[in-house]
Amino acid sequence: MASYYSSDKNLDLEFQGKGGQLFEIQLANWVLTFVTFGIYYPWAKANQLRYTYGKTKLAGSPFTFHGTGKEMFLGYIKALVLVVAFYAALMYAVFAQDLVLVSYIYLAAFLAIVLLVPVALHGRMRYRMSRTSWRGIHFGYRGSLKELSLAFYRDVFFTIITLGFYRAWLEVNLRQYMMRHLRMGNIQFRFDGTGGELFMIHLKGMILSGLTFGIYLFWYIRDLHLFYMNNTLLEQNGNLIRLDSTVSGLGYARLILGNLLLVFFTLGLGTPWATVRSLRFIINNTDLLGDFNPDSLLQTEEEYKDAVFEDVSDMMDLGWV
Amino acid sequence: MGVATSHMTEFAGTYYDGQSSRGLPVQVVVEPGGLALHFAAPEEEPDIPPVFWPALQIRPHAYRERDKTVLQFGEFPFQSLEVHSPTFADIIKQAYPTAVFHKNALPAPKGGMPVLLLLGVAFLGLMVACYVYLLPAIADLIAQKIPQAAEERMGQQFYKQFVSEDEVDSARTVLANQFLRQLEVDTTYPLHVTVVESETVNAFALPGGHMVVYSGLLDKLQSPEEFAALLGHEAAHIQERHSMRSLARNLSHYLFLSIVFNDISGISAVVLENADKLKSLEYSRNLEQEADKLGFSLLKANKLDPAGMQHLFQRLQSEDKDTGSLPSLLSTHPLTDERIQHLKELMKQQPYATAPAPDLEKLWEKLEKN
Repeated sequence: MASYYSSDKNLDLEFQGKGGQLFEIQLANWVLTFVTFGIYYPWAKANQLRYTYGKTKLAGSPFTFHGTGKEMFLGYIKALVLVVAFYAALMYAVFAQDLVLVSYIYLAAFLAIVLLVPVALHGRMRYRMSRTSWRGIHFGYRGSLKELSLAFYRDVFFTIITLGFYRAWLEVNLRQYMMRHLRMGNIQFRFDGTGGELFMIHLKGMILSGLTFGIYLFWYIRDLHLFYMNNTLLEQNGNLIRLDSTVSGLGYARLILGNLLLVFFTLGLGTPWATVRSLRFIINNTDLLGDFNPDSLLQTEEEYKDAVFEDVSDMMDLGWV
Repeated sequence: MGVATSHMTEFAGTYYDGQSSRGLPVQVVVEPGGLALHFAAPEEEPDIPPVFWPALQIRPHAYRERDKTVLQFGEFPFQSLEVHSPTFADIIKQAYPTAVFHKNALPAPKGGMPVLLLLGVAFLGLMVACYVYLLPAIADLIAQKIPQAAEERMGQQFYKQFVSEDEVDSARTVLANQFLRQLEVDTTYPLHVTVVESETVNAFALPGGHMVVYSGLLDKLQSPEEFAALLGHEAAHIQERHSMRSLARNLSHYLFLSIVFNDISGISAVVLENADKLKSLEYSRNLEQEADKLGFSLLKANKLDPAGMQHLFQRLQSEDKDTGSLPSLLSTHPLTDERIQHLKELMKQQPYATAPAPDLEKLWEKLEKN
């Protein structure tokens, strides 16, 4: 593998955000979201992303988030309609004591979620990447919704008939597909992890976490983190560049326990500091390994305007992909 | 104001053309009407002609932080300009006061101010106040707005499901309903009592008119006044929509919390759980007291001895001591003494003469025998 990387030059990824600054942004966000009964949420999200992107630097230059609340608002409303429709139906069925109807609603919701996952992922990738740039060069996602959906439905089927064992492969297939179609200008991405490796990580993680009464969970999370980060490759003008993350289980333990205390004892007011701690931990522990040339990226993407699924994916809690 | 035309204001910056990630060093000249960008002559490459950005078309797109200002220009792919200078931002602001980019330019967050923390704490306080005071009020309002017919339908569904699971004592149910008819009850709901065969010392009211009394409790009662007090109490829960109000409150609290903690998926479990809880729903102390008060009014309207209510409380309390388990009528209120105290106050405030009720006595005898 070492021959892939023609030099040992390291390029730092850095997060320079400050808890106090993010707190200032978030406080305004909270207040406005609260007094507008949630309508401000997409704008709040844009404010936060603009800050965290702007404070993330590669080779000294920050990333930029170009998205706006206005763009994401429509998606937010659509997601809201879906959620409200689900709960209205559920409430109706529950109060009518119609347990058959309740189970039908759950089934319908489950099917809708399965059907919507690829749509939401695709939409989010398209939008989020098109709104992300570095030195004026935009990211872009060029996957096809049809391909992604078919592969996802096929994998869900396999996961169900294997009683969940296939889930690791499902996750990796999704990741590989999305990475393969992700670009940062003329840089192409790739994901080299395999379902087998992920399966072993899950297996080891679950067994050891069980045996150690959960203490191993931090190392389990670390293994997942390293698996996803360190198998990510960038290809620039024929050179391969690898993400190189060096987080430790102990580091994760400190991060997670610290954040819990931070959020808990401040009744949530400390959340921005916890967010900054997490981003620092993840980003500052990641380098680019290889011959990355920060000056030779070329713009390749067209303008894209569709934020409909940005928030659908949010509500569906798709953080796991 | 305006820009001095005699000497131009110049800054050094970095220009990105939107086509490549290579930053080009530029001289930025603040001219009337816009910024002119002059490229330093590269050694081997041909000269790049200067670029002019009309001020009215410049858009801000990044943070102004400390000395750094980033401006964006043109259609996609955007060109951008980074200038590090302590004065640049203010100078362009003065030079182009009508330009749009000032309006939504985000200031650099300063952070760490004690004022902010104070505001944060105030906001948190506001949220808590909303949770404690505003939310229940809104939930109450919504529960009151539900049409009675809908409430009755819903209660009927619950009732059907409930009686299908338990053994109804039909003989005593008939008698209990005759007893209920003999009472003068101030209600808009079609009331109905069901006696269920069970050791449990309990009774509860469903929304819409159904009351359920367990034989375990009925057997403990010693007089028609006690039974009347019990029915009065439960009828008050129905008339005042306590179930709906409590459900609405519980749901609104969960809803609020799950939105605050961004856990939308957790709500459905809660919805289901609450619907199941109707049987053992715990009313707040205020609602219980309200029901006691209306129960007392029922005794008064029927000229029945209010001591019956006191006895009812005492029986429930002794039951509590005997078994160590809390009868749910009392589960939120281990303070039976407080309830008795409240009752005594009512008796003092609204004294009335009791009268014998032979019909009730007769029915009660039959109920006891059965």
